Amino acid sequence: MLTVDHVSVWLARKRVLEDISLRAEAGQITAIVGPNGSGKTTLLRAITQELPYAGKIYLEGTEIGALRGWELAARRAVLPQASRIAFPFTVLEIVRLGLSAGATAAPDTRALEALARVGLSGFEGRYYQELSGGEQQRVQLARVLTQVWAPIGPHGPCWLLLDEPVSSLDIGHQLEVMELAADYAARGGGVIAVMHDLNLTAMFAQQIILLASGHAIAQGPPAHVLTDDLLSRAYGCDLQVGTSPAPPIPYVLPQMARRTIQS
Amino acid sequence: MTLALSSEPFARPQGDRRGRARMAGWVLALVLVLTSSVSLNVGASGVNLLEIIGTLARGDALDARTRLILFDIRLPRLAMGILVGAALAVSGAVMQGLFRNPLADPGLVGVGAGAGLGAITAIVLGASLPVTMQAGLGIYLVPVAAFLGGWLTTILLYQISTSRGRTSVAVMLLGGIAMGALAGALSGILIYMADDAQLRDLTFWGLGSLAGATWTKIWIAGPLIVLALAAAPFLARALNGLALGEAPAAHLGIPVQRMKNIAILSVAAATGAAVAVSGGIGFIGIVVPHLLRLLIGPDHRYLLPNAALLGASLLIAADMVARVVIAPAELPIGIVTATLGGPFFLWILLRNRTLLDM
Repeated sequence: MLTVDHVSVWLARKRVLEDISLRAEAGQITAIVGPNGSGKTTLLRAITQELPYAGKIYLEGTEIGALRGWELAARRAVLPQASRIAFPFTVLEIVRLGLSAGATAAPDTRALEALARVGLSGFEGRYYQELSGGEQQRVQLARVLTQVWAPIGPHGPCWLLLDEPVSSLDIGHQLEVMELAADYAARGGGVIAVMHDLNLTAMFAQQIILLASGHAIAQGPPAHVLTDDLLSRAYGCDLQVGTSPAPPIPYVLPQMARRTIQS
Repeated sequence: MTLALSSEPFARPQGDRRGRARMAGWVLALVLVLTSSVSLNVGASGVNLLEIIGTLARGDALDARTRLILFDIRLPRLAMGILVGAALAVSGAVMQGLFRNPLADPGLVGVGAGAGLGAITAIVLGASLPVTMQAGLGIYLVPVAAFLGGWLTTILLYQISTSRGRTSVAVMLLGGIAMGALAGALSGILIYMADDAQLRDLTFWGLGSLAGATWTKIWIAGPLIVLALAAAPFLARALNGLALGEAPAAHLGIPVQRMKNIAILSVAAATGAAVAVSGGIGFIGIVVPHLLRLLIGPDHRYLLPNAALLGASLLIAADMVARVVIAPAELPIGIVTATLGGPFFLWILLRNRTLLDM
């Protein structure tokens, strides 16, 4: 379990995240959603120790700040939003960077396996920089996967912390990547993802935290959080949530929104 | 891309350049041995390595003149060439990795400008030092001043760009430019004050030379350079991670701040020592890592040792040219590295434009 306990974050003397508490269980996908600037990525950055914060964050009961960098690296991997890299590395070399950070000595073929998982078999010899944005994002995901390959490690569940993992992907690859995350969770690992797409969130997440201007305005399973009232309040426009026929999954269509600005 | 086409003999997956990188290491080591032997054989006097080996094989002693030329002139010069070449190339590669920029150079963190200011101060104002100090430091006044200048600037810049235990690479880069300009201005004032003889010394120092190599200088600069080079292998994995960015590197479990400290201190030590004994030799620190990245890829575990080997070979080769072209006089080595290396580098750049744009 990854627990966020009354965390606040200040950026340049402005409080951008106010008193957030969150319990993310292993075996589930926990999604952080909310409009632009609501503090989604800030919350993830606090969890990944990139930003200083007030409050406590625990990973399986241990205060996360007390863990050393390499201990943390063996228990959780972080997918950044967009990644420019500095030198002409090949795809294989990038994925192997994750391999060298993991807990145990991994076989050399692991990198190729990871590339196959993200649908990039045959890309290993290409230069990272000549790939499209979506392909680069999946290469990074393969690197992150090799870092915490086994969903359950020697210290308990491992975690994938994903910052908008599907933001530059086409719909086919969006489903592929979300299924990959769901599979990781199903095998016992934990996943926390910052998500923009409410429909994918509704399909795949078991827990959702909805942020608006630095506050958590709702938290719980999709049916509980994705409601007309809460979403309309968070996103500042009149949204109507539908429900798909069996299995019942909430969905939000922009066609069904009445923009308050126009009315 | 033409450099990236040779097929691997083993069943390695595509994109795996480790085999080629190791092979390059062996080839470069061999090249270094060859250039070193040739370098010992070449000089203004007619002393010949084969004759020497012949003499020794016959069990005869070498005559005093040959011994002097071999052990007190050519060998220290060779050793200094290897040390300085390796120091400049590895420092360049480490700085480029740290700043995530293929154009970064130790000059950027103030070592170059600071060392230059130190040397110029020593040359111009050295004569006005108390006589006892002049006698004590003697010919080491300039190198010692250069080393101190380089170190002080780097440490100062490091202090400026570090706040609350975090070093900002961007602040360091911009601060380096500002400090470089300041050191340049102060140097300019001193140059304005210099007389004709001092100006000649300044010019010669600025272009760099291995001519002043002695065992004493090697014993002063050598340990610093060796120590700094020995730190490089421990930086390699961290520099690879840093290519992804600082935060992703930290997420990989790399102690980013400690790694920056080691990188900056070792680069300052290596370049400071190298510049102090050989003057300002440009070019090696940028070209060698660049060539190797095109050849074997940017993986620092292989880039750093190979850079040491290639940097050493290149500097020794350039020194041979410097000694021979206008013998018995010598060209400053900086002129040689620039005239031979510049066009070659441009040619490489033009052939690999697509790869470099990435």
